[in-house]
Amino acid sequence: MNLILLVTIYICTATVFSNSLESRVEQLNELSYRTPVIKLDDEKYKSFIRTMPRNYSIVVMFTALSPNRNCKICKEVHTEYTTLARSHRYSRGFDGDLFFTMVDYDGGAAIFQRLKLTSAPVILHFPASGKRKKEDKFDLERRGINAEAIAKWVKDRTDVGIEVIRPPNYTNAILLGVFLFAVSGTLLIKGNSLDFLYKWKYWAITSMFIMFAMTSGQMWLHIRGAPFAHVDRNTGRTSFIHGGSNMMFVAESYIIAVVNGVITFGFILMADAPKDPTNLNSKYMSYGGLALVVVFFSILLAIFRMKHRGYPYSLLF
Amino acid sequence: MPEPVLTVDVNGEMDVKAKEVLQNADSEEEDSKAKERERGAKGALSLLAVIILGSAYLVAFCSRLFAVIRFESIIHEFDPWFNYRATHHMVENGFYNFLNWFDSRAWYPLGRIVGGTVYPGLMLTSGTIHYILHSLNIPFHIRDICVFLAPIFSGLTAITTFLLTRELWSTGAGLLAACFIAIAPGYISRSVAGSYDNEGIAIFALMLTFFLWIRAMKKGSVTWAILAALSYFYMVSAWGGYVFITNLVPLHVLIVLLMGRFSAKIYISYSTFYIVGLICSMQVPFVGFQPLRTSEHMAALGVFGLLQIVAFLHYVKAATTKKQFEVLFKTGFLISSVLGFVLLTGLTWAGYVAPWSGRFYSLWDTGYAKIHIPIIASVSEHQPTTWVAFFFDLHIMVPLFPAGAWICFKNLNTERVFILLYAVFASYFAGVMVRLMLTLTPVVCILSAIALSVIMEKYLTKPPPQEEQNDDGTIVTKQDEGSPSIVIMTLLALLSLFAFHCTWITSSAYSSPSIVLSTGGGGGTRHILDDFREAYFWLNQNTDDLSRVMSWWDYGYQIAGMANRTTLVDNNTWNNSHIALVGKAMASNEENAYKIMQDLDVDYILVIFGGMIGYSGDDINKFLWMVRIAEGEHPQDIQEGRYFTPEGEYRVDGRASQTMLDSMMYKMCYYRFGEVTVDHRQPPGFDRTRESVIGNRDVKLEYIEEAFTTTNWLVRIYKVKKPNNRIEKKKRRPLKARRPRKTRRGEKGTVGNTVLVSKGKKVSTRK
Repeated sequence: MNLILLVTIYICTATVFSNSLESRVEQLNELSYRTPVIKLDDEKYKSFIRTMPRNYSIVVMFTALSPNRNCKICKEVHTEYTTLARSHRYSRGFDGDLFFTMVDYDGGAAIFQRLKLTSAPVILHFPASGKRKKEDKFDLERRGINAEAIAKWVKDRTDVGIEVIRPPNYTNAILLGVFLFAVSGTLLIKGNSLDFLYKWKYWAITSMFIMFAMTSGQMWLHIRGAPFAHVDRNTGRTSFIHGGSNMMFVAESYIIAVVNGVITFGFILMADAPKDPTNLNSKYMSYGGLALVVVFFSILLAIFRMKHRGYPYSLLF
Repeated sequence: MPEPVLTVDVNGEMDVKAKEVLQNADSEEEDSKAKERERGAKGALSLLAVIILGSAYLVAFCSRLFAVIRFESIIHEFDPWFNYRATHHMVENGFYNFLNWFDSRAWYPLGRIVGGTVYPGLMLTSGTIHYILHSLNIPFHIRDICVFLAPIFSGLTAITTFLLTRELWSTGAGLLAACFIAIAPGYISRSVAGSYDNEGIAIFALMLTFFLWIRAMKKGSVTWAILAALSYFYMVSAWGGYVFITNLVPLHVLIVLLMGRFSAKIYISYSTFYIVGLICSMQVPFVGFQPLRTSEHMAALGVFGLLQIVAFLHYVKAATTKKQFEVLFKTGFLISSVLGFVLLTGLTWAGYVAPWSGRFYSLWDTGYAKIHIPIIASVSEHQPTTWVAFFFDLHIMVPLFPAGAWICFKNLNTERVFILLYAVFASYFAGVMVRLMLTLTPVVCILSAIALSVIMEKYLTKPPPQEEQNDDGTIVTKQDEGSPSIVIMTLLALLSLFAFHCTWITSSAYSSPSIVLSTGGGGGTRHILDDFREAYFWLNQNTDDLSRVMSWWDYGYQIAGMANRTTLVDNNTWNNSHIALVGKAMASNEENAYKIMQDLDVDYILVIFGGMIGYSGDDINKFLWMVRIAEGEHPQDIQEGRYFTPEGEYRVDGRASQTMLDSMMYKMCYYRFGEVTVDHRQPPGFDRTRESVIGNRDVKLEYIEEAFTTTNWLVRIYKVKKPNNRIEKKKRRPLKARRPRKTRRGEKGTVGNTVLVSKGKKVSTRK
C-alpha cells in the first residue's frame, strides 16, 4: 500500500517538476505499462503534449465516458481504442515513439475548451514535430470505429504499423457449448421420445421460415444495414416503404415477409382442402385460400409498383 | 385432358358384388377394351406432353430474342466478349492450341495463360456445334452460334427441368415446371441471345445432373450414376458454380443417412457418382487437383468415407451379436472422428488443404468481402438481394414455392429431400448474392409447379361420385357437377399475369446489349448510340497493332475483343495489385500518372464519359472504386478522403477538392468539355449525368494529347506523348546489296495495276 502511494507521489511530483525529454519518455513508458491508454488530466496534458521538444507522437482520444453523459458511441470507440493501444503496447516493435492517451470531459473540460472541441469522441494525433494538419483528426464518420481502421490511420500518420490483436472471442465457443449441453440434456431427459425430430411439420415450418426470410431481403438488411422506418421531420409522417428499388427499410421487409407468408398460406389452404365437396370446410378452405391469394397478391403488386415506377400491371388495386 | 383416365377409374371402381355376373360374362372383352382405352389415353397424354414441351422450347427460345430483333446479332456486355474471342481462337487454331494459348494481349506485361484459367465447356460446346454444322456444309459463322447458344440451351433446360420434376412428382407438374423455367426472368437475365456466358449452358448441365442423380438414386444403377457423373463433368467444365453440386449431392446423401434410410441403392449410386465425377472433374485444367485439396470439396469426400463406414457397419451388424456391435460401433466412431478431425486440421495447417477461397468465403461470412477485398465489393453482381429483385425475377413464384415445399414435406420421400435441401440452400445463397438468383430460379420453378399442379388436379378432376343412403335404404350414387371452377379461372388469370410480367421484364430490363445504347426520342423514335464500337473500331484502324491501351478493367475484354489491342487489365480480375496500379494512374495527377504509364508502356488511354448524353455508368461514377482499390495497395499516395469536398461530398463542380480536379480521370473526362454547350438553358460545361457545371472548365494537358472522341463523347481516347527530350533514333535500313533501280526516286512502285497507297497521301498513278 505504502509502495503504491510512494510511486503515485513520485510520479505526481515528477510530472510537475521534471520536464526533461528523457524523464518524460520514461514516465510515459511507465504509465503505459500500467494501462495501455494513459489517462491525461490538465497537468499531464501540459507536460506530455504541449511541452516541446518531443521525439514521440501522441494519439489522444477526447471522450465522455461517465454514465451521466450517456454517450453510447464513446464506449464503443473506447473499447476499440483500448484494443489498439494494447496491441501496440505489447507488440514487439514498441520502442516508445508512439503513445495512446485519452482525455475525459469530466476532468479535462479545460483541454476541450482550449482545443475548441464541442463533441466527443474525437481522436487527434499530435505529431512529434511540426504542426497538426487536417488529416491528424481521425474521421470517425467515414472510416468507422474499428480498431483496424484506426490502426490504418495511425500508420498513415506516424508510419508505425500496428497489427490489431483482439483478445480471443469466447462467446461463440460458450454459445456452442451451451447449445451442445442443451441438446445432450434434452437427449438424456427425453430419452427415446424424440418424436419431435420426426414430425415433418417442424421441419417444413423451419425451411419455409428461411425461405421467407431470404425472399424478403433479410440478408440484405444484415449486410447493408438500414433504418427501421423513415420519419419525415417536416411533416412528421412515418413511411415504412422506401421509394427506391435498391433500398429498403426493416419494417418493409417484415411487411413483405408477412404478405408472402399469407399468400403461401392461401395456396396451402387450397391444396389441403379436402376433396369432398359436400364438406363445408372444404368450400371455406378453397374459397378462403383463393381470396387470401388474390387480395394479398394485389397488395404485393401495389407495393411493388410503389417502388418500381412505371410497372404496368396490377390486380385488384 | 383427364377424361379418358377418369373412365378407367370409374370402371375400376365398379361394384364387384352387384355386377359379378355381368362382369364374368364380359370380363375378357371389357378387359381388352379397357386396356385399349388406357393405351389410347396414354398415347394422347404423351402426345400432349410432347406438344407442350415443344412449345415450351419454342417460347424459351423466342422470348430471348428481343435484343437480336431490336438491335442486331451481337455479343453483349463484357465477359461474353472474352468468351467469344476465346471461342474464335479455338475454332481458328484447334482445341490443343487453345488449351496451350498464352494470351500476350491481356494483362500487359504479365500476359495470361488462357487454357489453364478458363472453364472451356462453353467454347467447346459452340465449337462442336460449329464443327458439326460445317461438316454438314451449313456455313454458319461462329459469332451467330455464340449469339444463339444461350437461347438454344434454355430450351434444353426446360426439357431437363421437366424430366427432373417428373422424377420428383408427376408429368403434369413437370410440364408446368418446364413452362415456368422457359419464361422465368431470373433465368432469362443470364441467357438472352448474345449473352454468351458460362451460366447459359451451366443451368442446363445443373438440371441434367440433378435429374440423372435422382434417377440413379432411385434405381440404384451404375449406368445412371455414371451418366450423372458425366453430366457433372460437363458442368465442371462449364461453370465454377459446380461447387454447388459437389456440396448439395453429398448433403442429400448425408441427410438420407441421418433419416435412417440407408440402402444399397444409395451406396451404389453415390460411390459411383463420386469416384467417376472426381476423376472426370480433375481433367479440366482449371480445376486440376482442387477437388482433393480445397475445403469446398471436402464435404463430398467426407460423405464418401462415411458411406463406406456405414455400409461396413451394416455388413458387420449382420455377422455379430447386438452387444458386440454396440461396443465396436462406439469405439470405432470415437477413434475415426478424432482421427478425421486431427487429419483435416493437420492438413489445412500444413497447407495441403487450402482454406476456403475468398469468393466462396464471402458467401458464409457476409462481412468478409466488404472489409478485405474491395474489388469483390465493387462488382454489382456480388451484392445482396432486395425483395424487389426477388419479385422482379420470380413474381408469383416467390410466395408459391414455399407452398410447394410444404406439399413436398407432407409427402416426403428420399428424392424429395433433395429438392427441399436445394430450395433452402439456394434461397440462402440467392439472398447473399444477387447473381445466385440464377441457381434459385430452377428450384423455385419446380416447387411452384408442384404446388400448382396439386391444386389444379384437385379442382380440375371431378370429385368421385358420392354414395348416399336414401330414406328407403337403397344406395344412390350421386355425381356432384358444381366443381369449383372459379378457383381454376382465377389461377389461370394469375398465371397469365405472370406471363405478361415475364415478357415485360425481359423486354424492358434484360434485353439490352449494353454495347449499343438506345434512347427514345419523342414520338416513339429511337436513337442508336454506337459510340463504343466506333471507338474500338478507331483503335483497330488507327493505332499500331502492338500498342497498349490503358482503361479501367471493365472495358478490357471489349478492347481485346473488338479492337484487338493489348490491354493492361481486364474483367478477369485476378491480379489486384495490377488493377490498383491502373487505378492509381487514373487517380494521380498528371505527372505521377505519367511515371506509372511510362513504367507500363502505355500508348493510349481510354475513358468512358457520360456527361454529354447523361449516361450514368461512366468512369467518373466508377472513379471512387478506382480510388478505393488504389488506396488498398498504395495507402501512402492515394487517400479516398482527398477526393471529397470538406463536407464529405463527391462532386465535380467548383466545390470539388483540388486532388479531384487534378486527377487524370477528371482531366481526361472534361478536357475541352468547358467549350461545349450541351443544353441551351445551361452554361457551357454542364455535365448532364452529375447535373452540375464542371469545376475546371479549362483543362490543360501536358503529358497526353487527345486522340479521338466519339460522336456523343461517350468514349474518349488519349495518346501518351513520348518524352520530348529523347529523340527516337531513326530505324536504320538493313544493309542490302544495291540493285539498279528502275523507277525514279520518290515514285511509287506498282504491282500489276494495283497502286500502293500510303495513308494521307495523294494517290499517284503517274508512270
